Amino acid sequence: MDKAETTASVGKTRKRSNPAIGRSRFFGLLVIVLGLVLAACADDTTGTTATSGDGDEVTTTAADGEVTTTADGEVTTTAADGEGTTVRVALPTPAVGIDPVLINDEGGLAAFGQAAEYLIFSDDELNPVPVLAESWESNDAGDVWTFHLNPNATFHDGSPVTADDVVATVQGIAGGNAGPAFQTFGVDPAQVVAVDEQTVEFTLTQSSGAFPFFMSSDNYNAAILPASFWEEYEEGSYEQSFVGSGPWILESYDPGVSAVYVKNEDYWGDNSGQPDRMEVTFFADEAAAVTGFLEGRFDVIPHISFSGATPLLESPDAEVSSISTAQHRQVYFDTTKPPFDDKRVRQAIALALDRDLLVEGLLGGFGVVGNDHPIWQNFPMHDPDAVEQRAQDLDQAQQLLAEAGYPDGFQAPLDTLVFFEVEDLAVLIQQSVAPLGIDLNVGVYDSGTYYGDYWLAADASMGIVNYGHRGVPNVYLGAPLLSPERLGDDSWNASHWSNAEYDALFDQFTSAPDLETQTEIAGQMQALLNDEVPFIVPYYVDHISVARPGFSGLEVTGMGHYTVVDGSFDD
Amino acid sequence: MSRFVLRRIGLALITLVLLSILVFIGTQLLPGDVGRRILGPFATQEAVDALNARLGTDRPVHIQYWDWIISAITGDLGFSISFSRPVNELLGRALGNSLKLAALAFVVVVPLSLLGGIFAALRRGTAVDRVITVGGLSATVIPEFVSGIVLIIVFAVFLRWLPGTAAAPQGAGFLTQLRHLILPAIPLVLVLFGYIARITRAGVIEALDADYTRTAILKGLPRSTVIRRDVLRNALLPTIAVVASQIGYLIGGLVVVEVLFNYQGIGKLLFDAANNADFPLLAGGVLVVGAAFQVSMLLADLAYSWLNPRIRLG
Repeated sequence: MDKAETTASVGKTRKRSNPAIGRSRFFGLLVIVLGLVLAACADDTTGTTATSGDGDEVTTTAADGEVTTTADGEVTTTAADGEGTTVRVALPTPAVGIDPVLINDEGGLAAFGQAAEYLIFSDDELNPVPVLAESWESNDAGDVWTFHLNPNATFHDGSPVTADDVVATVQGIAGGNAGPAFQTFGVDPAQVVAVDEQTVEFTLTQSSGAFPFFMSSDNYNAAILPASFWEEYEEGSYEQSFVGSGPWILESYDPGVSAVYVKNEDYWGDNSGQPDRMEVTFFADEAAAVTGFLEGRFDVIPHISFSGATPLLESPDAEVSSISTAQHRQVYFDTTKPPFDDKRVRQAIALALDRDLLVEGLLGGFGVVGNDHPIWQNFPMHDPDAVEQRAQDLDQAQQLLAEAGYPDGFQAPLDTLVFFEVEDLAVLIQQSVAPLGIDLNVGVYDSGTYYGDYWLAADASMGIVNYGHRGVPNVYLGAPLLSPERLGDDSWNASHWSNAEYDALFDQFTSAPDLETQTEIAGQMQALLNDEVPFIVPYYVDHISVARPGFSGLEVTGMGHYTVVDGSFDD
Repeated sequence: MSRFVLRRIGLALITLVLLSILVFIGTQLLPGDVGRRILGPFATQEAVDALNARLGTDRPVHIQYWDWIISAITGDLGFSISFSRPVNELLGRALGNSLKLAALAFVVVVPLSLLGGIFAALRRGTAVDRVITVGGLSATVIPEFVSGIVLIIVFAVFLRWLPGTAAAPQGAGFLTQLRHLILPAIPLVLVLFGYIARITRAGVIEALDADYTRTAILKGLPRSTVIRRDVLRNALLPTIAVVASQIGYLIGGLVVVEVLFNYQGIGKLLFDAANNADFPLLAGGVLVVGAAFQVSMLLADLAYSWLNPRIRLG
């Protein structure tokens, strides 16, 4: 065979080979793969027509028997009377298990607060609403508080909610996340006693006019659970039952994935308009919740950040609403070391901030400016005339710095944590003080590192920390501001600020007999804190939530609780 | 052969022990102590100390490691801090989920990319070849979170053809689960297609140009026989290794895709564990992913020797 023949032969063979791995087989296989995909897509249409026994599709049935809904990627529709309704909720994944002792974040408390109830609910307008406690009162000194339980209240198994259950709950949670708040409010678990079946008495180690808020939903660990639960309590045991007295009973819980609740038909309170079912999906990433909402998989996102809500603001498929809250960031200084031991330096930095711009830029307007004290303007004891709102004034800031001996500025660290917009706030503060010659070195850490290594260890530095919403300002005014030596290990005083005048005012504030006196003292505290600036409060952050248009009945609190017990769809 | 397998298993076990030490030390180096992580920044030091004593996390690291590894060998990976559940239970379910997603991506991408690569090689230099190689390469460089978000927005939000979450409702049947896994599988297919197809194409071209192929053709064997017996058998050797090495990635490396599609697989579980400083879960999860890599590499070696008799294992 010569060369020409070889070439011809190779060419010929190559042509013959095409059918072996050729175009037709390639596309044939492609068709099979696509067929599989399409078959899977087609599955949806069959699944929506009926509730299958194996749970292949989740469907809900209206009161009149008409099948209306699939929960699987389709928008829920409901009967007009609100029955046969499923509400689908997106919550952040809880940081720890759903455990009354341990829960310490919003995902956890929101899931916990569906099946369990508190003595008192602290609503979004700062009212203490009676729930398991129908009334309460204190002695004149304000250090003995008596709660009278609602005699109709029962747990899911029908047993009554008694004073023994309250005592067992307080003692059960005392060693956990709620511990420091016990200290702040002067609760000694051994001094909580059942007077009779429906009456429980707290003898405090100090007087506290705001104590009912401590036993409210503000103290989110303090939902009342049966004494029998506490007898057998061990870490993780709550997730087996979600026992409680609330309007929802757990149907299934898949840690980190979902929780499904059904209506408590024997609920002791009024839940006549309650949807039949609530499906909670946990998400690790807010964007996943937002796309799920746009896709129609959720009806409600009870809490979302401004940046998360941005894609929904203009969407016709979302109703974004917000409530004003006391949640705020504290920009603190180490007041014991130069340069921040001079209050003029602290004032100068506070004067460098354009607060309106911060609220607009970082929160999209979902917030209000702060005035460097934590007595939020909606607290009833806030004194609006105590001190003028601080506004940006670079000239005055420059002058104060010069008087303090830093005409050319200085260098200092500014440490904070990854939390919503906080790192952006750090950068904007850095830029705001740059014209004064102050060079801040911003460090941003995960929350474990920040709280472990930086928060209370501020050393000639600044930092930013978050404080969640509370119904009363006692926690804000106590742990972060009282002299560190007074609270010892329980101090959250990151600025190491120590002021005898303030400590005395705090004691007067907590034991003030009436609102008028409390307001007068609060005014003095506002003025003192605004002048001393142990920390800057640049703004208070609104709580943003999203619901599907036509859905009504979502109620949220600044703390992160939500309820859809009165939830219904218009259509 | 059996000696080879035993030796490989032995080496894999040694690797896993080394990995476990690294993982354990790594989690110990993370800042903050365990009790503080669980009880939060505002818990009293007394409560934190009491919890650390109860969990045994106040003991020296080597003693903690010894206890942990002995338990792990007996099949108990400990108790998850963030989920208040046994790590075994969490990892078992997550592994099942990850395997489902990996299997779908694998079943789609392997035949597709092999055929694509072979087809491109046989049509070397033509427009089809360029479409497959350039298109595949372009798809490979798109990060999963970009393609994932685009897919969710187009197919889940606007068209509403497919669910934008990989998690099917509880108790869902096979087809419903498959339907939920389609969108998350596509970014993985996109990432792997170009890679595997290019390796396949290169292998086939090399084999086509080899002397043994020419000899086989000159012997007068039909073209299809030559392709099947000589070209593919040789050409697929490097491809097998590449494909097998991706199994570990498909099982344990899908953090972005699993978080984006809110899917409780190993990747998202590890992400949650790292976020919440859940040391037992993190360490157990990394160990499981390490084992998955080891198994996939062993399978690759076995497949390699089966395809290439020149390699006498053992």
